[in-house]
Amino acid sequence: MTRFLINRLFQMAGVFLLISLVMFLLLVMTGDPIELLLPPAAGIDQIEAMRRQLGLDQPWYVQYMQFLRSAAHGDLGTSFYFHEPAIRLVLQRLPASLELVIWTMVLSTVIAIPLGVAAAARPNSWLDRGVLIGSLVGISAPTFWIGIVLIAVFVVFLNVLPSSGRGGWEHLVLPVTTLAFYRVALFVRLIRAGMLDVLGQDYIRTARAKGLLERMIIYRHALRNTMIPFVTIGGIQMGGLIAFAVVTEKIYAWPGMGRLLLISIERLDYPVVVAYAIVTAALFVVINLTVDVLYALIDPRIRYE
Amino acid sequence: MSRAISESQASAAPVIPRPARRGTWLWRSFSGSPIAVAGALLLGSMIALAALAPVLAPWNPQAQDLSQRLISPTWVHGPYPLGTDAVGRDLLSNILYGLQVSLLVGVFAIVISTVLGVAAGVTAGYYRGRLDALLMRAADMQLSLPFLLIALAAAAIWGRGVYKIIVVLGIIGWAEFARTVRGSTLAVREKEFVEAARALGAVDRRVMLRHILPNVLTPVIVLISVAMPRVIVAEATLSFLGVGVPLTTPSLGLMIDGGYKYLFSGAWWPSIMPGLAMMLLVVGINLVGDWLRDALDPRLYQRR
Repeated sequence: MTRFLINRLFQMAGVFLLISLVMFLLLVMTGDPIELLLPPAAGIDQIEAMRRQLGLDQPWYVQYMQFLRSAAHGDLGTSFYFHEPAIRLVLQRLPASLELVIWTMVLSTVIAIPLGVAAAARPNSWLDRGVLIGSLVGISAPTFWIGIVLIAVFVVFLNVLPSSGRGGWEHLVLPVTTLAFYRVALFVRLIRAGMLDVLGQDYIRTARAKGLLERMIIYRHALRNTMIPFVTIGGIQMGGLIAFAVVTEKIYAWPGMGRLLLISIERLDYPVVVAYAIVTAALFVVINLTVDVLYALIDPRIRYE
Repeated sequence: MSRAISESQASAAPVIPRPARRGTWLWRSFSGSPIAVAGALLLGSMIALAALAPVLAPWNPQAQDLSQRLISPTWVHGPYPLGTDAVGRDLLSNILYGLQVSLLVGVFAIVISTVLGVAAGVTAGYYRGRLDALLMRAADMQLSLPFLLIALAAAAIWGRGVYKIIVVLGIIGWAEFARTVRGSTLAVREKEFVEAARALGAVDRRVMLRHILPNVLTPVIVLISVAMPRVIVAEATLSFLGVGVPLTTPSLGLMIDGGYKYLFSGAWWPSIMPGLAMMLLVVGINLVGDWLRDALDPRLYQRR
């Protein structure tokens, strides 16, 4: 297990480095922030001074080595726009984004598991059909559009919830529901399909023959084996949520790092975009390793030798 | 010459009859499933609406008329059945052309993903070794990052453009196809008919194209049905975020972005309507895809 985790860590470090290089190269190849930072009337020497000051007069590989060296010291450059350390700007907004991601995962799981189990326990019942139709709509509707429909209903017409900003729980309701919509639909399908698969197997028949309570069979014997694919997809979805949080943060003016990313892309503020990529990559490392560990906890057959 | 003939005969036995048989029961399973038929009808009518946009659209989608801005939907009668947007453009016409763009992006991006992924997957699975390790490591790395985030980064850096979005979404999609096809190739390359073809002197390229490729396509069809909705929604999402297609393109994502600011003045239609159209399109694809997945699932297949 430990060796496996160390291996994974090295692999993730590779992903990490690659992301930083790709981000760096792509950003260097496109757009010149000088034009945006200085007034159009700025003189040639003013431009040159700015360029030297930002280190943009060096060849790209020198810039990249410099970037890596300072990155190792936790310094990912200074935002061209905010004149603050890029990493600090991103990290300041990280909690707001994580708040969305974590609550969405909690909400989706809490809704999806009982629904999926109940649907699988009575296939073709009205509940099962309702769940299937609902989940089809859920996986088909674009996340950003769900957000807009929710604003139209709960903010504009019913006027019961705030539409923007971060504050108490009432600010969380709409963004989290928006993000959870797709996840619930996906998880329900996954749990239902997994349960149907497992419930048809011999050991479940044995458990029934022993006269165990149906509830016991479903939650203790069947659900446990359904959780393995669920954890994988859940891990992938959590990564995806970080991406979709960008969309939600735009709609609900949520002060997270996704909104910072969109603003920084618009302003060609490279250091912030790169810092965002690095922080996000680090999050993926953590999520992927957590999923690996969870596997071993759920399924004792997996031992990573 | 004679060698080529005998070689194709050797391979003909296992390859050709199966798709024919599969075709007929596939049709029977399709016509026996009301959900699949409903999905195909829905998808078919969305495609028809998109294709017939130049005929059906009552207005030029770009024509602005500020005196006719934010007119609410009149549904059947009136010049603007689904209403107008903030600059007085007809929503119905824009939605029809928007569906066209969604489908174009979806189809072409998937073609790129499929070609790249299948080529990489068959090559990796056939040759194994270092090339395989390299390609699969690259695919794993890419798949450890969310699709939308890579697309967002690439599109943001490269700039707006319909063909740029197609290329970006197409290239990112390769990994999933490559991994699946590699898996099937590993199984198929050990089969006797592949060995027979090689023993008869077929070159690697011929073995891959004529003998392995036709036998690894079933999961590819299923993957296409999963990847297509994702690509279509991704285009809309990127356009919504401001890094997708150019502002002059009739795109459902752009329409929603342009329309949602007017929600608070009570104009819900400029943002809700285009999303509804997109959802119907995606529901159609998903319904057909669900049925395809069940019908082609090798595990269900054996139970028959």
